[in-house]
Amino acid sequence: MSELKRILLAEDNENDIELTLKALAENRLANEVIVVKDGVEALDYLYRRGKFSSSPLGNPAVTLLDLKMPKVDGLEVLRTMRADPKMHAIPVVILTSSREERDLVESYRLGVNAYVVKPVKFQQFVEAVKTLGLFWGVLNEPPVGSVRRVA
Amino acid sequence: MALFGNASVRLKLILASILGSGTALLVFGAVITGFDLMALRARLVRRMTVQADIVGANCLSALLFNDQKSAEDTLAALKADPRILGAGLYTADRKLFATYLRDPASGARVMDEALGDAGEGHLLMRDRLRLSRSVLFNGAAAGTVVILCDLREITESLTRDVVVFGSVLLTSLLLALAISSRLQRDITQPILHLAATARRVSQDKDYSVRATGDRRGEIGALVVAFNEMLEEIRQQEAALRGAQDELEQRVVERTAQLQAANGELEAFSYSVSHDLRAPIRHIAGFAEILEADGAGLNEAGRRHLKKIAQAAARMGELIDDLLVFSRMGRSELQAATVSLADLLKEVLKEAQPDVQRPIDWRIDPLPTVHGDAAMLRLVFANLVSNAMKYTAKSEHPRIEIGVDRDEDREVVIRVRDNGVGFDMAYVSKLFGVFQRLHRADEFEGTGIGLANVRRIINRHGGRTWAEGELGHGAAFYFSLPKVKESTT
Amino acid sequence: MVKAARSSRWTRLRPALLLCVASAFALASDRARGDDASAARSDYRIKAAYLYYFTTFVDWPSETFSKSGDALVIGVLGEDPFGAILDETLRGKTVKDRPLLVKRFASIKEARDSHILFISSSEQDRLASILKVLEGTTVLTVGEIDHFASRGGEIGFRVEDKKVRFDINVTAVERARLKVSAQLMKLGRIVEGPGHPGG
Repeated sequence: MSELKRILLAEDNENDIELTLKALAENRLANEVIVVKDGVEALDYLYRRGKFSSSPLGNPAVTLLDLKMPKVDGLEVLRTMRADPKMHAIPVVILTSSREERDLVESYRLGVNAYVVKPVKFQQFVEAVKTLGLFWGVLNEPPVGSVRRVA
Repeated sequence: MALFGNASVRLKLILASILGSGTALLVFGAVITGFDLMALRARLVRRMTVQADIVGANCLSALLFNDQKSAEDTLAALKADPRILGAGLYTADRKLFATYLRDPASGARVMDEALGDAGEGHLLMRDRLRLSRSVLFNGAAAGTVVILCDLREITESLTRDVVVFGSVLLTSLLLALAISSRLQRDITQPILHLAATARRVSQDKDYSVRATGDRRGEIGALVVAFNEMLEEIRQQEAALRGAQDELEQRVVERTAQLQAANGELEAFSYSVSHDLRAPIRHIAGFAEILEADGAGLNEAGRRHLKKIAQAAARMGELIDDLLVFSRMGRSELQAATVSLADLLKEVLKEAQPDVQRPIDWRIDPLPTVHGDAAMLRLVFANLVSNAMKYTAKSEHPRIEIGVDRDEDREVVIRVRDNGVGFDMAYVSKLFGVFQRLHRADEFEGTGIGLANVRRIINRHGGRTWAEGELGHGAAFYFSLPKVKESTT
Repeated sequence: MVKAARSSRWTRLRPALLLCVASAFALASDRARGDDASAARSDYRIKAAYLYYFTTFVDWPSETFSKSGDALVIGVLGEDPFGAILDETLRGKTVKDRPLLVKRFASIKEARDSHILFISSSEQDRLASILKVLEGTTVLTVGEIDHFASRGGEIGFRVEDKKVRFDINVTAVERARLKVSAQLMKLGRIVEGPGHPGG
């Protein structure tokens, strides 16, 4: 079924959030996006605790993770997710400005599914998001336990 | 063993004294013998002259009274002198009148029949002396007496001289040998000791050793100077060691500093790569959104927005390039055997040449070198992309890549194109960071490519340079030193 | 008469032939005499030279010269066989700074003061008396008379093998108080003379 699945976006920068949502919106992928502002919130959401204790069940089909976030950063979140059997299958795409080798190495070591560097040119960014969204959000079959759009 | 090691000096000293005394003796002997020879000859001539005069006087009457027998009898008295080989009496008209031959059996022709033009006097021949004396009668010559005698007297005397002299010479030389052999020790002993000390010092590197010995005389002065020199060396060595230690200390400090600086740089570039990029993306992003939305802007407004977006994009490029550049300087050189031909092949595959404008590639075989594959790939990538970029406007672009020189110590690779080239006046700027010789609207690029190439090649221990002519293309060279394989 | 004719021819020729032969002989003997003459002349030249040489090899006692510079007299007694030869030979020569003087004597009494006296063969019969007169003098008597020396003369010439030789009578020489050099002595043949001169 090619229906849009839920996307979790973890991004601390307001501008980046706006730009990413805009890019998703241009590709009509913005409907089921949950935005969290840092690693703590991301984990809260995934564990359905804190302010997300009443969110619907189910894991997101893909997590778009920024690396540089306050409190708990992206790699920490990734590590935690991969350590927890309930979540370790959740697809994670790191979406970041950094092209640093060590970030790359560490991310793959922790088992990230994809690593995408945000291009400077917005058009290119839109294209990238489209590709990501279409694949992970529509085409890919998420692991069992991912929430579907409830009608 | 020690003796042999010093034989040449010893030998020289002994030889010197022997040669000295030997030469003196020889000269002396030669001179003496020479004088002796002259004296002997003179004496022989004198004696023979006397003999001739006596016999001549005795023959006078026989000559006058034409009594040949009497003359011969008188001449025969010369038999008493064993040295005389023969004698002849000649008349006033120079004819042979009477002869005496010591050994009649031998030379029958000892005496000439006619006197010839030999007058009074003596002639010293090789093995005999010929003496003529006039026989006088009342002041006038009544005839001539000629005596021939052998030189045995002289040769015997000389032989004796030589033998005596020879034995004296030999004895003196032996004595000289003995004496000089003993005396030379005074010179060679301290020299030997000095040499041994020097050897010990250089072997053991122990500069506290000192030469001992007599301090008098020139050798003594040498010993003293030697010791002073050793003291100097010891002090210098200690100072050097101190300086070395200090330097090492400083190196350790500096290295720590450098590492700290490097760490800082890494942190810096890491933060740049993330923190700087983000705002730039935002600027570019929102500007583009605005542009797309129209937002009630007029022509000018839209143009301005476009410029904002472009500027941001440019900044992003610059930062990316800067980051790459810095990474190339910081990261470890992972040296391995690299096939440049394979690298180039990969680079060319990725280069995506424009199909519409086919490039005439001339690729020569490239050698295998020692270096970091990733970095060298970047070198080729940059050079190839530059070549392609700057021939983009050419009718028939041609890019040649090959070996310019392959020598013992290094190999030089050349990448040449027939593109727009550059003015050699600005060649010094080519490899500078962010230096460009063309405007952004002519050819895109940040001017970091060649700087990267230079940085990478320098880290490999090579050199980079370029030649070009406006309108006639450019050639870029880089050298890579050949590492000698110690093990296969 | 054939016989008579033959013999008459021979008879006519004989004197001529005889003349030829005689003159031939005469010529031959003449030549021989001439050869002899020239030989004799050269002999006299030699003898003259010998006389000169004798002056060198003989010492006269000093009183025979009254003073230095006095001439040494060589005399010829009797028929002079030398002629000009003697004068030529002795001309200008000196012996020990003494000039030589040639004198010819007819009688012996005049000749007592000569140093050398050549007694010519013409006096051979009177030899003994001549020698007696010369007793006690210091004259060196020289002659070519046969047996001159053995007859008491001091030096006698003889010709032997075409060479002029001489005999010396030592006793006579001594008696004349003359010293003859050994050099001369060895050349001459020593001869014994009579016990006393004139014997």
